[in-house]
Formats: sequence, structure tokens, C-alpha cells
Amino acid sequence: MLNYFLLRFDPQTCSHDVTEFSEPAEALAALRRTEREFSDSHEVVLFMADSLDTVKSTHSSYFACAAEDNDADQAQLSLLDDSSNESLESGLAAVQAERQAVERMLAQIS
Amino acid sequence: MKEPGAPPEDTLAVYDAYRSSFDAHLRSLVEAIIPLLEEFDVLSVNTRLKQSKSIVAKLRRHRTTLSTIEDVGGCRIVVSSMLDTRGVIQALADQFDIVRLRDYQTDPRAGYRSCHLVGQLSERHRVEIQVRTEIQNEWANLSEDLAHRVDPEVKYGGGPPTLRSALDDLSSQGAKLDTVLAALLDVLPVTAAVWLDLLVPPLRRSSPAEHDADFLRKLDQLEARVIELMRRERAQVTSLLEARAALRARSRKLAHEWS
Repeated sequence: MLNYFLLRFDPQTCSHDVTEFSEPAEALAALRRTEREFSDSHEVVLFMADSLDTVKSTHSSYFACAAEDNDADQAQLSLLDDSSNESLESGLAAVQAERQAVERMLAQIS
Repeated sequence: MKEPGAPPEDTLAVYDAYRSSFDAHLRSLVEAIIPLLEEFDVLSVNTRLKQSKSIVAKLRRHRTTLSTIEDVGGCRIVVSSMLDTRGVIQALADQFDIVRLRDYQTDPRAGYRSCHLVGQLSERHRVEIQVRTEIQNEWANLSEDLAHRVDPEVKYGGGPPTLRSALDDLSSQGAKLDTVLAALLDVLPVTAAVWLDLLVPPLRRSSPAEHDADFLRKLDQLEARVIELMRRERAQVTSLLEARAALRARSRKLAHEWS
């Protein structure tokens, strides 16, 4: 089920307002009205999606200010550095090598 | 309140009518895409209509006509990995008339990575379909957010040097993760755990005549190697998930630092 989500975003205050519609004509009329009133100062965008959560994930920049800081983030930060990238790449090479070894053994045994 | 220099009302009404005519085409596009994409790991699909002021700005910037703007109607598809990106693009090409493909995954633009397809949905309706991974989508939204709040030039490769550098670094880190993830998924059409369940037991049950000491020794060795492979696969998936979470945390930290 696809619905319409009319977003009015104020870049100055980083705040947003969303109205949901099920009927295309209502959504398009609301888009026209809202643009006429607010387009000088706001971003006005009409989305079609299965849920507001989908819009929040695909266009999260409009909702970024409403997102809360996550304490757990701090614990994760130390994990991302050059050495972790290297270990990911070497880990992948190890998986590939091990897989080839298994495939060779299988060919011999079967 | 009408902006100084804005087009007259009747011109805006023409733009609006043209834009509104995309609605039914976009709905048909999404409804056709949803079943088509069941075989891929698609996280979200949606559409948007371009803002009137963005249409006006684009017409002025490019000194062009309304029908040549290819993103009045837009569709965004977010997938898990670059393998899904490739599969989805092929599925779209099989189903729709795709007249253009811009691959910003292999040729990024100011850190921005995505694939943009232009689909011809009718004689008068071309739409832009963006296909990107979750990592690419998060970076693009971070860049957009910072362009709103800090400097519009961030979107075009500019902005404060320290912010630019951090964004470029995150884009590179994200690209590496996407590459490793795609490579891992590519070598794992069947995981070692499935091999262990499906391959080794039938071999053990095979003809008794083959169960000499040498055969059993080889089978034991094979089983040990598959178990080792399984351990390495799991370790790699865990490392990827940790790196993914760390990348997301660093993105959020950057957004908060500039708020």
C-alpha cells in the first residue's frame, strides 16, 4: 500500500513537518498549497512510499536533527581505522584461500 | 509570498500540471518494481516529485525546457550490497526502457556514490532512478544534511576544508566496506555451514567399499578444513558488522560536531 508523505523542512531551524495522504489528488493539491505558502523559506517535497519509516531511511537528511546522539556510538568509533580495513581485506583473502583449499580437497575425494 | 524574479503564476501552473502528471507513472513504476525486486535484498523504495523552485532553478541554470529535465519525478532504491545494485539494475533494464546509466559507484562525484538510471516511462515522462547501497545512502544523506546546515557547497565537493576532508574519508571507508561486503557475498553463494551439513555426511554414507583408511583420513581432513572455513567466514562477517557500525557512528559524530 503506497501513501503520500508531504514534507515541509525548515533548513534554518532544521525542523520538519510531515502530513500523510492516501489520495493522489489531495496530496498534489496540498503540495501546491504548501509550496505557494512556504517555498521561499522551506523545502517542500512530496514522497510516495509504503511508510514514513521508508522516507526517513531513504531521505534521512531531512530528519537528521531529530535523531538522538547514541552513547553506544563512542564504543564503536575506535573500531574504524586503517588497520581494521586492512584486517577486513586480509580476512576476506583468508576466506577465499580456505574455500579454494576445501574445493581442491573435495575434487580429490569425490 | 512570491519570491522576486519568480515565474508568473500561469507559468508555475504549467510546471505544476506537468509535474503532477508524473504521479501515476511513478506509482506504476514502484508497483512494477516491488515484485521484481523480491529476489534481491532491497531495503526501501520510494519516489519524490521535484520541488517547483528546484525546477525553476534548473531551467535557469541550464537554459533548457521542462521536458528535458530528467528528474522531475525520481525514484530511490536502497539495497544491502553492491551485488544487489548490479542485480537490481539488470532487472530494471529487463523491465523498463532505460535510456541512460550514470555509474557514480565506480566514478564517484565529490564522494557521492550511487547509480543513476534514466527510465523512459512514456513519450513525455523520463524519471531518474537512483540505486545505491545502504552505506552509500547514509553518506549521501549526511552530505545533504551538512549542505543544509553548514554550507550548500558541501554537495558539490566544497565546504570547510576539515569537513570536506572528513566527508571524503568517510566516503572512501564506505567504498572499501561495500567492496569487501560484495566480495564476501560473492564467494559465499553457499556457506561453509551448508557444506558441512550437505556434503560431508553423504560422503561418510557412501559405498562401504570406499571406506578404506585413506578415504576416512581425507574425509576427516576435509571436515576439519570446512570447519575452519566456517570459523573464518563467521569472523569475517562479524568484523564487517563491527566496521559497519563504526562507520555509522563516525558519520553521526561528524553530523553532531557540525550541528
